[in-house]
Amino acid sequence: MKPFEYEIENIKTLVNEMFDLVKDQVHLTKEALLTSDHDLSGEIMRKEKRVNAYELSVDREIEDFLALQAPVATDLRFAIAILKISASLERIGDHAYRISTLVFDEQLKVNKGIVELLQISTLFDEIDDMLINVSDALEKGEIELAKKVFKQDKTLDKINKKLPGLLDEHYKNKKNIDLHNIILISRVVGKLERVGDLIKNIAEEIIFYYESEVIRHRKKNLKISKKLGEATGEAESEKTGMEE
Amino acid sequence: MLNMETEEIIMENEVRLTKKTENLVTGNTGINTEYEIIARNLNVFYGEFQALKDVNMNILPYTVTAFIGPSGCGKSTFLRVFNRMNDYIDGFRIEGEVFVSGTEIYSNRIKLEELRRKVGMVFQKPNPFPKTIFENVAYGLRIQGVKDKHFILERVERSLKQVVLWDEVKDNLHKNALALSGGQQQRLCIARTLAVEPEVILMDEPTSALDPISTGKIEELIFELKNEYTIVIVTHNMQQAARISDHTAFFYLGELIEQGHTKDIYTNPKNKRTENYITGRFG
Repeated sequence: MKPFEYEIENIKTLVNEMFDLVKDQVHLTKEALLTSDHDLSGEIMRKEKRVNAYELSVDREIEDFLALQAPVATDLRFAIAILKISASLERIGDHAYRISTLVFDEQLKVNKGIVELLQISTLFDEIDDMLINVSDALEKGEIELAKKVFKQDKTLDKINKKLPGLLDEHYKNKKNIDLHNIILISRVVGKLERVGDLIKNIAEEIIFYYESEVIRHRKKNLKISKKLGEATGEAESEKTGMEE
Repeated sequence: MLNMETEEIIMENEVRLTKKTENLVTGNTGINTEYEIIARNLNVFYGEFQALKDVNMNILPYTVTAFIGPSGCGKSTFLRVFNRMNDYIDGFRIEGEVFVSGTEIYSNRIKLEELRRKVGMVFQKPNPFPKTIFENVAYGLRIQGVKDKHFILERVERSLKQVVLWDEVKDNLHKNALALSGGQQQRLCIARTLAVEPEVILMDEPTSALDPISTGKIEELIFELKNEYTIVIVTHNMQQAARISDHTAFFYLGELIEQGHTKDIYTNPKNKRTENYITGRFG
């Protein structure tokens, strides 16, 4: 093993640990939310400091790696991708933290009916699976696993999109509505949808690292062009099947 | 400013990763923290010219320390102080103290041949003797008076294996060393230094005459050798210093401007002159 490969191994170790921590945070957040567990949400909030510290550790390691090893090609892409991946993981940790504060500070309660209506368990399970896919993709270089999350993210988007209609339907003609609680639940779903986007960003960075392909913003730019009636490079962007 | 807890977690991560690397490289984590080399209030003169001005430095064992700085800054002079190679230069005069393994090397009691066995040196240009590969490596042992053929054979093989040259030359040990490539010759010179079991290896721009592949091999070798030896290297290649050293010292006009962990020097130098030099703004 060459000297700089030890540095890469160290950085990979840190990122793997950060993945495990964030997966755990998301998992616990589901439990805290579904059981309105005040203590557990407090524990998640405490562990958020560890997630933040991991991001700073990764930043430092990458700064040293860039300064000392002057990486090029794959190694340079690795450094750039890891910086962005750790920032995305930290943001996912933030969302888990914020959902926990809703339980901790605002005594958010979700009854079984709402959980089923808004498919909250499905949202969490999908996120769990997406996180496993991207962490495996990064560790093993299996791009197909990274690409899989683009489809999985659509499930989250669909549920989020349906939210106003579902709530409207559910509470129509009902009295004594706890509007405050409904708003908080909407926020939770919104945050989970955002977590899906962040995992998608991680997948894009993994593809950039392994295949040197930049797919960020591709589909969205295409949509904008279509709306504005501009010429598009549709054939090319259709190839990847990626979302914005 | 980070809060204490966050700082502690980051430190924990760093310490753990450093230990992990040590384990991977050495298989152990034990480090003797006594200084291998100490220079105190060192002033060096060549006649009227002062080449080094009040230099103080401590070098830990089993580390790589790189000296960087523009030409004429005194880094090679300082390197050669550690095995008294400057003694032969006309007008050379030294003030201050230099300790290697706890011994003051400029004391009258010191034996130069003993010092140079303990402190080996590798030069910019590979300088094998016009002898066979085997005799080049065995040379230091022979001048020490070692006669045991089996012992010499064993030591030559071990030294050549240490520099990862054995597989390339084992069938041609009696070929002239000058027939080897530049990179192989430099590794042979390092093997010659290792054969007498030094404690410190001084390297004066050891790769500046080599191609990138050979340079890479020497750098890998330095990374491995630091588990058993204390290495001090002078290099004009700042990126090389960054890649291979644990500590870096920046010299300018005979002064030691800044020294510290290589990571700190290359990410957050304290002195503006160091920053200007490593970012290529002068020198």
